[in-house]
Amino acid sequence: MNTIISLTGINKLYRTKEIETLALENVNLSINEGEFVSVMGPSGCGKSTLLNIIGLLDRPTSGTVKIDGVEASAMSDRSLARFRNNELGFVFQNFHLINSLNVIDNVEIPLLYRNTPAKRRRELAMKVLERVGLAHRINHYPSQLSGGQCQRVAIARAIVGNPKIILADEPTGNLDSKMGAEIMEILHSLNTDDHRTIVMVTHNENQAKLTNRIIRFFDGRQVQ
Amino acid sequence: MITTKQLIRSALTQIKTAPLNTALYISGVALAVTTVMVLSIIYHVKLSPIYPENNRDRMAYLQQVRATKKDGSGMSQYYMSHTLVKNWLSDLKSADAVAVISDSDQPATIMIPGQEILYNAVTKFTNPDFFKVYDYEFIAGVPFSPDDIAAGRNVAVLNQNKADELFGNAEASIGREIEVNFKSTKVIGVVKPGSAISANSFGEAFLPYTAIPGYDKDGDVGPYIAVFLIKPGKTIDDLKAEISEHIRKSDSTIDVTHYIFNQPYTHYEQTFGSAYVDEDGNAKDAKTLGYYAIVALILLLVPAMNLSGLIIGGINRRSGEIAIRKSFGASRSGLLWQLMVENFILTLLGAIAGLFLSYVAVYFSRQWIFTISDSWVNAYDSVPELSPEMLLSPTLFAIVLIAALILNIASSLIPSWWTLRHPIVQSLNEKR
Repeated sequence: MNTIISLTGINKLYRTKEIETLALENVNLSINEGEFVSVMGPSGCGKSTLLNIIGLLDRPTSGTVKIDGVEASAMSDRSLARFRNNELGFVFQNFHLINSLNVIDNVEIPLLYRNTPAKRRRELAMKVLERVGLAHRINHYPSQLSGGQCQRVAIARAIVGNPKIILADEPTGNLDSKMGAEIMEILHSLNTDDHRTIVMVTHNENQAKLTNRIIRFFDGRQVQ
Repeated sequence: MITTKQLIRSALTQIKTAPLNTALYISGVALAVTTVMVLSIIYHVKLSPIYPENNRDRMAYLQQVRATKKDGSGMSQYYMSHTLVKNWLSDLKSADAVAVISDSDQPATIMIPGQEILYNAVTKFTNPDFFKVYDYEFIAGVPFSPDDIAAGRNVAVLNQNKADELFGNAEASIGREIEVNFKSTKVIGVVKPGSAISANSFGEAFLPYTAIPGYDKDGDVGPYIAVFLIKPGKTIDDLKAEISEHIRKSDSTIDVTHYIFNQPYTHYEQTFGSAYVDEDGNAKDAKTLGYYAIVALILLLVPAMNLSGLIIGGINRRSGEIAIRKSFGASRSGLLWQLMVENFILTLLGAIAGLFLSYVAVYFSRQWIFTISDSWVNAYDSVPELSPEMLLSPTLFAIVLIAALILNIASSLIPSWWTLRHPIVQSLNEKR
């Protein structure tokens, strides 16, 4: 298996005037292509920081991040944006849909920034919405959907651009168990059917056990 | 790149989500644009080709003359005497026509013989070339001729409004007798009216200046000004050189030296008056235009600074959306473009409102507003007419667009850029 995510000597230090907080300390991590990995640990242990660094949403204080063989630390802002657009899909705990856009426009967002023609955008967005079972809700707005439906829209948005890696930050954290199970089912299908690499931060031991590997964090350090 | 439809929808969403902020922003833009547009309309009306002054780019003016006795015994300053007009302005090769206008263009009384009604009219005593320099459209009849001038005939060309008032219509006026200041005068032509805003060309009754008793009573100076129509291919400097030569020759035979302050002035120089010309009559064009440009810029920048506060509030509310878009591949420059264009849509709405407000402001203040900082536009008693070409000009629309662009950039560029520098993670957490 090829290594698709490689973190070497990652430290992340948050500084304020008064205090310094070491959120990640000397993290070395490799994730293979097609793996479904869970990241677990108590609140504040650095799980989300790790996911943000893998997702190139945040830069480490020191260390090297390689995604699909490309080292991200030297990339310009514009290159990072393009790279995220092509390689990464995000699913957030709070869905982070844009409330002023309807379902299909939300899903199309990643395609807008790679200049996909309007007709093709619509086709691709419809395809992924069918897959998550929301093809009949394309003109609804996020405020008109349930939490589970919002998260399915968020997953559709994450996969519409066909990224190799999906980063999910507590994707079921705001959902009841039934809806949570539905979301997990979709994520597993993306992993097994589409061979997408998935890194999921979760507090749910049962969900984590169903993934290929569990990485545990404590106080910014990888403990397992 | 985000689509135009989405940009418009997003701008409309901003209006819906923050109606008070949007209303304040649009009103602020509208007021700022109104101020600039009122100024622009005033100078558009003064500078652009507007009926009957369609040839302003070729027009030149000679007014003030200073006469100094060669023996130093005295000095006088006014306009040209009749002798000076004849000596200086005859056979000019650089001019197609020279309108000679007497300063006696004051309100006159007009009566129709046999009737007891007294009408008022703004008269203009001039020569036939007046109708060549100014592009008056004859609705009926003809202008007065060189023969009429030579004979000092009491003939008149009326403007249509006055003809309608006196005789009902233009055709019915031709050949009719009227009494101008109790002197019998025959109506020989009727022209489409100009506007009192263009004082040099405006009149309700045009008469030969030779009809004024004592029109050729001479002194070192006199009551006549001249407006030239420069020949195509000739320049203002050619005209100046030619007139200087005529003055030199004329002065060599008399005991007076005349000084004309580096005139004739172009229409531009004439419009800006003393602000545009220094004591020796030299044009200060770049400096004066720069001064007006700075005033206009300040009129836009001051409100822009205030509007920035509203923009910051609006963009801060959207920091979560911005972070989401960045997460999924939007670049900072792409988002900056999006925010600027969205804001421009709102700015444009304000600018259009400002344009209409400026029309309303100009309309209701038209009797005095065109005399601001102007040494030669007279406020006639009659209410100046505002024609469509004065208000609906591509130049004015371009100025609105430029004003909106300046306001947009000045008010939203820095707040937008500042917000876009916000780290993605921080913005996402704030949204949470």
